[in-house]
Amino acid sequence: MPVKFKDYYETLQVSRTATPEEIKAGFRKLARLYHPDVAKNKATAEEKFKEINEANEVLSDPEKRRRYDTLGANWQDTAAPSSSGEARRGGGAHGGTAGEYEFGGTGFSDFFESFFGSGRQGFGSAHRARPGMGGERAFTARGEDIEADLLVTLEEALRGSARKLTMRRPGNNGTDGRTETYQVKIKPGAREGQRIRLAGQGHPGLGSGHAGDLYLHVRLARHPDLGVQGTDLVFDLELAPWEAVLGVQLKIPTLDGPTSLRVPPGTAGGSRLRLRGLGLLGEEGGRGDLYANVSIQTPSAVSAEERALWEQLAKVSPFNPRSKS
Amino acid sequence: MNEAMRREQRIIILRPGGDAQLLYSLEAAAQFTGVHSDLLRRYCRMGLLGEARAAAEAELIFDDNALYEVRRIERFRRRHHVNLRALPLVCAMAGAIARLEREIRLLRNH
Repeated sequence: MPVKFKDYYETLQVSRTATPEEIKAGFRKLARLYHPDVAKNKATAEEKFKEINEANEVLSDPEKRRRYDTLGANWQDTAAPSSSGEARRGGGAHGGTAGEYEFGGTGFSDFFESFFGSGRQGFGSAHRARPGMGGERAFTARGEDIEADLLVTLEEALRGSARKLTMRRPGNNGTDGRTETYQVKIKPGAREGQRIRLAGQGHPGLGSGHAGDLYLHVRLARHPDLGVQGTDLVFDLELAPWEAVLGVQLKIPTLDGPTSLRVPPGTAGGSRLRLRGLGLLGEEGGRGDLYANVSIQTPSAVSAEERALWEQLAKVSPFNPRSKS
Repeated sequence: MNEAMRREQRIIILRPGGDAQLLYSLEAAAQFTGVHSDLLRRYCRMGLLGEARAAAEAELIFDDNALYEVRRIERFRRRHHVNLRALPLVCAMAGAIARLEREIRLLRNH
């Protein structure tokens, strides 16, 4: 079954010459629409959310984007690029050829896995090569491992989840292989780069050697509003000048739902407001925190009335940020 | 399937932080990776398997990440002919690169 090309620019609704900021904005807009927690039609939203995440994975990474852009019209003839330093003498399955393992439910398409996945990139990673392609000439050999990426949302990483994955093994001599279904449990506290091992689900071994394993690499999906710093989460909180001066009560997004936050009067730009225990799960079972990073935004265009008020304020206020002694 | 279940007999499931985590004894790790337990001990002594932690009884235990690391070491040795002496350097570099990539990825994601 041939691998389908993915038009990531179309998915994110950005032009091919979009800047990184435009890509980020495009992703955010769509991710907010289709995020599983807020979307109306959850079934279709989930699929769309995965597509959006995958497109963002590639387009927001300069290295991956460069490679994607050079694929062009003849992408199926292009051998998947090897990671630096590794010589691949005809080894490694590339997109479109028979003998490719096809995954369903990982959150990444086979197109992605062919060119950008963990199995392609890491140093010493298990390429999806058949046993014997590594130059081994044994009659009995343990089967090679298979690696794939698994897209995990922050919510799943926090609460855990059960995922159903399918993998279609290529048949012999061009026949249709069989499809296996796995129930994969993502434990609460899953972190970026963590590996989940599915025993014996890799390449079959040679002779009496037993099969290799299937390793899934956890990839945390980008959240439209929250960034990750270790076990802490970060939210960019933008305030109007008067909100920072007078203080304000507002709701910010968290993994536990919108949460009320009281911004104290006199909050300076650049300050961090800490919400305890609303981060990700840590090693010992406790949770990190959520930080709201305050930035003060100024209105770009003001009406005549507003301008008059600001000018009055400028006259009345003794505040001078540059006179710090 | 029976084969797999028989091999899984020596799995220790501990409960740090309140949730069951799948861990493997040295014997189970040796079986699953195809690497002799003496060699696994050696890899641990060389500090190549960061995730392998010593439990209270001074027994080595492994998680999925550690098994993956062992498999990767085997690929370094078999496919790339990295010798034992160079392994600490190669593993350290691969580990540092993976850490940096993770960090960059998370930084870019915000």
